Amino acid sequence: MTETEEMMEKLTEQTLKALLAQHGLEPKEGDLERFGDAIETYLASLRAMHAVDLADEEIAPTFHPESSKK
Amino acid sequence: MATQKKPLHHLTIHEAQKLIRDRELSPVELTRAILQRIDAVDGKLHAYLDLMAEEALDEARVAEKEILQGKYKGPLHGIPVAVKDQLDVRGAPALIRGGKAEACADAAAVEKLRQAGAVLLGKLAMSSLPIEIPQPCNPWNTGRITGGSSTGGGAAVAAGLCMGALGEDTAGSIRNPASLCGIVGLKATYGRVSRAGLAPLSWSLDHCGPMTWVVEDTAHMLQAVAGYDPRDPTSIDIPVPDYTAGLKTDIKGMAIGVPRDFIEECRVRTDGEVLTLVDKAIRDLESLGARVQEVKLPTFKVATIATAVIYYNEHFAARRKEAKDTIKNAATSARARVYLGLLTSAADYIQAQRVRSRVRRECAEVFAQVDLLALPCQLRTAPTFEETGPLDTIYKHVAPEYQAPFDLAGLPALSVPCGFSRDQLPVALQVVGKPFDESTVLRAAYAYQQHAKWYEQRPPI
Repeated sequence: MTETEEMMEKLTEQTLKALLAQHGLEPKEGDLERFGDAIETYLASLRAMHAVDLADEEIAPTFHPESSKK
Repeated sequence: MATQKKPLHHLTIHEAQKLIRDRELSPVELTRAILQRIDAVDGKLHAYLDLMAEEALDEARVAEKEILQGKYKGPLHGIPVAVKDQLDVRGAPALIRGGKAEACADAAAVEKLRQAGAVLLGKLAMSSLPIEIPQPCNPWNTGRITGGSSTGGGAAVAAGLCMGALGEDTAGSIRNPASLCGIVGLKATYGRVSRAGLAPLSWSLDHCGPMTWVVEDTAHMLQAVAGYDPRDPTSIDIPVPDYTAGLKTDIKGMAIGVPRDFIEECRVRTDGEVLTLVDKAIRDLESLGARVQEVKLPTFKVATIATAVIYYNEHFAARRKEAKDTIKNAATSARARVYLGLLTSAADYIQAQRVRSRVRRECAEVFAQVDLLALPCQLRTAPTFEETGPLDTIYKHVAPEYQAPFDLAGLPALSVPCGFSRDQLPVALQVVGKPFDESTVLRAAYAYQQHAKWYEQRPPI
């Protein structure tokens, strides 16, 4: 693991602890170490999601599927 | 007294309803047979969380009396079914809600099953609970998982522990166990089946739907539970067609799109046997008269992670009250979902919603050319418990796979068995339709099922 990666992991861990505390929660013992890889994989997938060019696509805050006609 | 050769627990709903209607089979006799079957094998499978045997027998007696009085209600009258824990059942605790109190009313879909005369056997196991429970085993090989999150539904239907189940699908939770357990599972269009009384995992992704042994049974169950419900703000008020009426119409000329670009994205994680069997099933659809063509869905490559982002965020918001208990007592993947939900920013959530818009647009464009999509329903056959890591569900949700994109799009998607691996484990074809066009999905799946006849093979348990 590079120095930057180690720093990012520590930062993620601290962020998560702070977010949990904000909701009156704390992580189960060992969970942050246990989930380190899963969290990193998730964050990498988030980066891939942001990298997709969606041009001027807007958000879909309400979802109402409509029939498409052939 | 029933005279058919099959054991009663292996009758389909379609077969049993004819016998019940013609008074050749008593709902009480049928319910007793299923309860005996549960007694004999559920100790190995762990499909049921809450078996309501006495209530079920009472309901069966009522159904019998009504039928003898000439008040036959239809194909589900006197049929023993079960529901995922996530759906409220009056008088029963819901473990997903913490299990501390009994529900004071039935979920809308459960209420509709009762109105149709179904006999409710109990509540089925699921993953994603705030406590750890024994994991249901796959009836095809009890050393293997059922897939989740409608774990109990997959095991129970495949093993004949109920004639049909109601499941719920947020990121594949009906189709995943259906494909791994060799049954039919349908996630209906978002808004087609009421979510009232369904404990939310993710409000904008949760879909109720049937899990059954054969396609015609799925049509019967969908018929009972579909329809507008003002108690669900996302329920859509459009007419419900007769799902069995066109089931036997051939599929000549039906246009089926195969999203090869998306299958290619998933190929590296998909078993070769799955791809081979699904390709064979698509060729079979072609031999039945369908016109198969390639279609492109370029944004699907990030549809799975977009689904996970929406799921984990909405899940944290919906289940925040149980978060403390979840972190303390739940299985590893449920705890991870809490952490990931918190780590996801508003910008991530908004980007996921933009992906959803684009995915829906691409689907609309494709469905202007074709009637259905056909593609695999799973990456692999059911793994063993030893092969299954505690965070596999999380890893499934972050890389491209075949199920979650259709929750994101809200389209009707069905898993139908299409063969067996060398290890005798089920493989499934996925058929996806236009919004609210479950009828065409069912028609194609039925045509394929009747051609391939995989339903004739039952698990060895």
